[in-house]
Amino acid sequence: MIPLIRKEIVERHKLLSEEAFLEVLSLAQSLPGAIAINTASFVGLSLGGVRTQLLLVLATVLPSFSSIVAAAFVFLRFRELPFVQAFFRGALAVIASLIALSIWQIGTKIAQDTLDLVIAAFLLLLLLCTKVHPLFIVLLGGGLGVFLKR
Amino acid sequence: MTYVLLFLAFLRVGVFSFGGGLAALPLIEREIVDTHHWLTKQEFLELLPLSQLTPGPIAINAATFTGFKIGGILGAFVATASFCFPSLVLTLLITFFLNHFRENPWVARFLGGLRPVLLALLLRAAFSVIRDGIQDPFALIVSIACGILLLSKKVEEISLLLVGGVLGLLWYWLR
Repeated sequence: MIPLIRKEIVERHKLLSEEAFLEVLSLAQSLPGAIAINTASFVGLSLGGVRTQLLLVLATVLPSFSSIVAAAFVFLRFRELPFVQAFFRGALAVIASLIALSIWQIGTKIAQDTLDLVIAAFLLLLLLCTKVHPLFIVLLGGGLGVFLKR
Repeated sequence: MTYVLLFLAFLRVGVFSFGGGLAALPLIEREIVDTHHWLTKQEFLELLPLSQLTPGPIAINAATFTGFKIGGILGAFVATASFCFPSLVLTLLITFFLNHFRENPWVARFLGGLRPVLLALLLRAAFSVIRDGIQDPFALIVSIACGILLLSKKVEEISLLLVGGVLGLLWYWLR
């Protein structure tokens, strides 16, 4: 989705320079929420203020909103059918590989950092063995970062 | 009341989902499966391929789907809007008041602290999907083969999902 946004904003309509877009993108990635939404929101704000922001975010959400509503409408009626179940069981195996790929990517990034690995193991243990809400894991990890990193 | 609960649940997801959609899955699962029982675990697992096969970010799709199932079009709107709301506010604050947000040492350290968090959340998501989703050698083989293909960067995610689905059809349904 990001390459598409870049193409529209930087190449096609020349609303932002390549450099400004990269700046926006890296900010968008460090904030919570969907990166595409954050990017659209920043671009809107830098072009024309809150109204443009709302307009661009709405335009970004609308295609996924309408397609998932249509998909949900169909899916909720037919999910019990054996062939639908079979398709989704197969596709879910691919989701597992997608998650594994992300684990690999972030894992290789922090593999040399023993402290990060110890913290990750501790947080995983909390997630698996206790009922603590994942949002506290985010706060705890960020908090540990504030105190332990320099 | 349902709409208020939807609003609060996806507000929480919106505020704390750092690092992309897959890392947000434990947060989403907690809210919609464990806390509110809006979706069964099975439905949640089916939602994942559905969200990846339709355009748009996975967290948005999960919000819209859940909202729609619980409260129709209005529910879908409430859930989606509440997920986006924190993004709107944060980007607004940063653009107008916090120009040097990322250079702030506290923010930088907090963000640095999120790297192990992302790893832990992704491992938790993997555990959830593998325990309840990969239940036979066939699924395991598909999973490993697709993992290798993804690492070699030769295939697109969406085509791989379709291939996985078709293989599932052939194996579980036609066999």
